[in-house]
Amino acid sequence: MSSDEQLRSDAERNRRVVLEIAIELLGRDPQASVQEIADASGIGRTTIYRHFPSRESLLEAVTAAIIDTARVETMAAVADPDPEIAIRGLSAASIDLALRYGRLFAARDGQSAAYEAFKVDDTSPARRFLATARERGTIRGDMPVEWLRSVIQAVTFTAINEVDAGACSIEEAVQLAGDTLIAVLLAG
Amino acid sequence: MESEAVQRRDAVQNRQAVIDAAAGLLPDDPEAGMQEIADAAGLGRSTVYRHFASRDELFDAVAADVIGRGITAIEEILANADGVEDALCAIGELGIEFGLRYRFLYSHREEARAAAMRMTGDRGAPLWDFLNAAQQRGEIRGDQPVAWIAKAQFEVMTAMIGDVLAGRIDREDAPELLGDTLVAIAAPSR
Repeated sequence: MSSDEQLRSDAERNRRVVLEIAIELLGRDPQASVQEIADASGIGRTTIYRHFPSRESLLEAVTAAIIDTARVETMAAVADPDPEIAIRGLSAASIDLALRYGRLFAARDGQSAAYEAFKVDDTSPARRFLATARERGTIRGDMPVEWLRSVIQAVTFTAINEVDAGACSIEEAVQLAGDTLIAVLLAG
Repeated sequence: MESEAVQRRDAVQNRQAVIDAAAGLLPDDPEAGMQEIADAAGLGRSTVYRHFASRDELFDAVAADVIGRGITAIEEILANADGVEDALCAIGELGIEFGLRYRFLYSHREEARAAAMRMTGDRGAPLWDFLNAAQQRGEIRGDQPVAWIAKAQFEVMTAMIGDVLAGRIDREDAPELLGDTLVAIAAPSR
């Protein structure tokens, strides 16, 4: 490997490590500082700023990466051909993602180009699943997909609040939310 | 000279007149100033300021008043409803109407949420008691806690208000769509 190539691969590695640590720290606490990310990753602030010129650009890269994770996990969750299992999977994945990254998404609401685009994306896995299942007649056809998606978000939010308030465990919340969404979404 | 009792009664009436005027004016004109509100109440500006030192203070009072009226309206629905479905649809319609009409109070949404939670949260709360009685009679699903059902319904109602405000759902479609959803959340398991 030439020294140039070596430098480039070091740089790529550094960028990846910073992003991984930033996803973990900022996902939990969107106020985490670049210094904390430097300390946790063992990579200096100057190096971090070489890859991400500002805290905002780092936050945006983290937001985009988390959206990719959300897409992948949601797609896997709705893959089952049995609509009941797919709805439960979608519900569980939404709760899991909200517990992990809800704070960051709340902090980025209205601030992030990537998040705004994701919110209105017709090709998001959840929306595609709902649209396809609705056409097939496995989920109810008398409500628009847009509304069904809002219902999923609202029920997810209820579950998160109940967990945060200590009213139930995560497992119980997943069960309750799944049962509620089956009742609303599944074709009678 | 007026007696103290009369003065106190006038003060209470004036205070309520200001709140009523603000609640009537602000839905159509959220930027209305204290002078306009005073005019609508038929009072002088200084009288208004004697009751509410600032616009923020007035908004707090209007929010408390609107929330109180919402609670009363829901209690009336529950007292007169012809079954669970009827009650849920009526509450949904009321929620949409209040949510849209009083959207200028968005800054007070946490108070509204807290009030809603008091109505649904636990034994003794009006909606909780209503749903609990319906559950005893087997009219709503028996495999979930009443508090979960009520809270999920509240969040869904909030989502509908947001969707209508954002133009994602037509105002005319909203009541039926929301009513059907609230009923489906509560319906006995199939």
